[in-house]
Formats: sequence, C-alpha cells, structure tokens
Amino acid sequence: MKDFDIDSTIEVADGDRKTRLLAQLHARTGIPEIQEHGVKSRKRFFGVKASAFGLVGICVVSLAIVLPISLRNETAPPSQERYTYTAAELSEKDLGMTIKEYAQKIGKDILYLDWYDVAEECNTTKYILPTEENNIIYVAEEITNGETGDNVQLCVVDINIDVDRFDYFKDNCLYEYEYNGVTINWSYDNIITSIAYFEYNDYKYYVQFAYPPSEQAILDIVKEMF
Amino acid sequence: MKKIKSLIFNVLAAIGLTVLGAWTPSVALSAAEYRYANAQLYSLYATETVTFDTKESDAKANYAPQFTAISGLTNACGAVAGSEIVSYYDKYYPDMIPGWESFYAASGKYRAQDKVYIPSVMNELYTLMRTNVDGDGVSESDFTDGLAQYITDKGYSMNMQSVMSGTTVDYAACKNAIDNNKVIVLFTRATDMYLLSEGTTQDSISTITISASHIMVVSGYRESKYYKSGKLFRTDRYLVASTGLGSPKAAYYKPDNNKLNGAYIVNIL
Repeated sequence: MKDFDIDSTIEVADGDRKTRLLAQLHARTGIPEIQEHGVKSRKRFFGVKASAFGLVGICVVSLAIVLPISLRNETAPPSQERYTYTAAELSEKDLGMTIKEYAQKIGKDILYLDWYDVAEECNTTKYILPTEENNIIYVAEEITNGETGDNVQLCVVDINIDVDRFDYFKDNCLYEYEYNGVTINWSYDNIITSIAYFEYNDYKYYVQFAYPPSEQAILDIVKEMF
Repeated sequence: MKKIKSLIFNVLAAIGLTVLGAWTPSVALSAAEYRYANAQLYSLYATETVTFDTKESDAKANYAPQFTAISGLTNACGAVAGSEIVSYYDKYYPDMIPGWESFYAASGKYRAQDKVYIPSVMNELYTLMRTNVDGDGVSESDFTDGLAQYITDKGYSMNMQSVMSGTTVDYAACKNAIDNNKVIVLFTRATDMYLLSEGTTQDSISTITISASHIMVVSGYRESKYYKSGKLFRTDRYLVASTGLGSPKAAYYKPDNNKLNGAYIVNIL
C-alpha cells in the first residue's frame, strides 16, 4: 500500500480542494483553522512619540537634579568644615597645664572654673588621635574644691568638632537657662551627677557636677565660669 | 534531572555537615570561674523618657569614692573596687589607709583620688589580689582573699555577706545595708548601667554598657514611683554604683537584671 502523507497531499492541492482538505483535517483533529491573513502587529506600549517625550522628560529631570548641585558649588557660601570623632578612636594624655594656662598659651578666650587656688586635685587632659599628638581634639579638666569636696568635670571642644561621648548632653539636658546672652542647657540628678552644656566664643562646653548639693547647683558652677 | 537533584542534595548535605562540624556547644562558666578584667564603658545610648503627673522618690547616696585604675595597672577592676572600699571605711575605721584623711569634714564627701595614697593602696591590693596571675584580672576568691588580707594587716577583720536573691540582688537587703553606712560589692557579667535626668513631668533615662565581667562598689539606692491621674504605673529601682571606669564614674545599676554572679555586703569587724 502506498504511504499516505497528508501534509504532502494538502501541500500539492490547490484552490477549493486544498480548502476542503484543510477543513476536514481540522474537523478530525479539533485543531482550529489558522487564519492565513496577515497578523496585525501588536500595538507598542510606548509609541515612538511617547518614547520621544519620555526621553525628553528624563533629560529635564536629570538636569533639574544636576544643575542646582553644580551651581550651588559656585554660588552658595562656603560651609565650615566639621569633624566628627568617636570616643573610642581618641587617646587621653596629660595636658601638662590647666585650662587657664592653656587658654593663655594659645591666645583664646576659653572659659574655666577658677578653683585653682583651693583645688584639692586638678587633672587636665587632652584628647588626641593616637597618631597626631599635637592635634588636640578637646581638653577636659576635673577639679575638686579642697574646701567643700565638690567635684566638677569640664570639657572644652571646638565648635566645629563633634564627639559622640557628648551626645548624652544633647539628649538629656531637659531645661534651658539664659545667662549673659548664653543659652545654658542643663539637667539634674541629685544622686549621681548634674549636667550642662552651652556654646560660647567658638567653643562648646560640657559640665558635670558629681553629687551636687542642690537641683540648680550646676547653674551656679556655670555662672562662676563667666 | 536526577543528576541535578543528586548534585543539589550532595551540596546541601556537605554544607550541613560543615556547619555541624564547626559548631561547638558553649559551656557556661560557674560564678567561681569568672574572671573580672578589662571591662570598658561603651558610649551612652538609648534614651528613654518617662512622662508622669507626679513622682515619689526614695533615695540615699553615701558618696562612695569613685576611683579609676592608675597608669601601669591592667585588668585592675578588683584593685580599684578594693581601694574604694577601704577608702570608704577609712571614715569609720581609723587608719584603714594610714596617713590618709579620706573625707571632707564640712560636707562628708569622700576625697577624690590623689597621686600618692590611693595609688599606693591600689598597687598593694593589685598584688594581694594576685591580679593577672592565674588569668586575666581576678577571680571572686582572688578579690575576697586579697581584700581580707589588706584589712587584716590594718588590724581589722572582714566578712562578705551575700545579698543575692536567686539570680538577682535583694534590693531590700542592699537598702538596709546602705542605710547602715555599709557598701556592697557586685560581681557582674557584661551589663547595662543607667544615668538619669530628672524633670518636673518627665525623666530621661540613658543606657551605657559595661563590656565585660566587672567588679563595682554600691553605696546608694534610688526608687522612683511614677503616677498618672493618681495611679501608680511604674516603679524603677536602682543601686548607685561607682563604675571604677572613666566616664561616668558613677551610674545606676538595676538590681533585677540577671547579670550578677555575686553581690556581698562588706562588713568590717
């Protein structure tokens, strides 16, 4: 028996016979007829015009971001450099002099607590980066009044320097007090320590009063520094 | 497909075996085995605010000395705490530190660390406590034996009275001891401490972490009861401890923090 190749049979058929053969094939197999007219192309999600407008839009947005930044560098006033340090990266060394003497040496108007004549103990230290001993990040002075036993620690930091150990003051000084045109932020804890901080003449001051005798004793200490 | 599944299984099995092989179950130290050395204070963080209508406080501070390790001493928290203890009791037991007037008569406050007497005491206790001999720092028995030896040498005797209550410290027992002018020594694992800022309608509480096992001296207590609309909604209890570290030199310790290996009233006889 001759092999029957349906594909070839349909292929060589033409006109009406081809159409009838295809219809029979589809009826037997259940496969729908393929429309042989051209397939309409899918509409593009972004047409050419839309793409062009989109590209223009992207360029505009980019320029809106880039231009202000580049222009700002030329027209904005120069910002002061700020330095941030963590307590962990700093080393502590004896300053070798009191804050009063240090202020005189560098010719700066730095406030201090003048208890030197009655001090039982006065320890002044400088905090530095381990590799830059002459670059003092801040100084700290702990002084104990030999008559009362009052113990105060004072830290003096350049106004453009931030050290994380002093964040505590900003978070926990609950009160404000104005004195000599200076805003003093302060808080108290009569059992352990009262704290205060303020800014004056290019420096930030952080004051701690251990075992303070009263709620506002820390303010008396700060006033005494002016 | 079977080969891929087999490969994936083999890879996962290899990973699992590697993890199991690397895992070594840790064995908890007993309190006696802990060594106290080289703790550090991490920066303050995590401020909490407690808002209230009214507050009641019951607090007392005996202003125990707040010393820090002198230069040249390492892992010295035992010697520092011991120096604070003998300096504190020098007020009540003459010549506990010969030649040293430990407090200001006008205010009762203790003298700050000087450059002669306290370093001498600290060096002596550092040796008596066998610091860094059997390991870093001191063990609880090293501390106790060394302190007892120092006190005996000065003509007195000492005992340590436990104030532990399970894994926490007995706040009432501590309060009673402090009211009777005694100090408590804490042997703690790494723990949090606290600082307070008091306001008229809110208190601010900051946390500071002590990084490793440490010895501290307690000489005060504080209990704050907070009320809103006349109702008590919160009670905070603390012990006031000299940290023996840099800053802060004193901070609050929560008696129920489950980080204690031991807590003892130091009785001088």
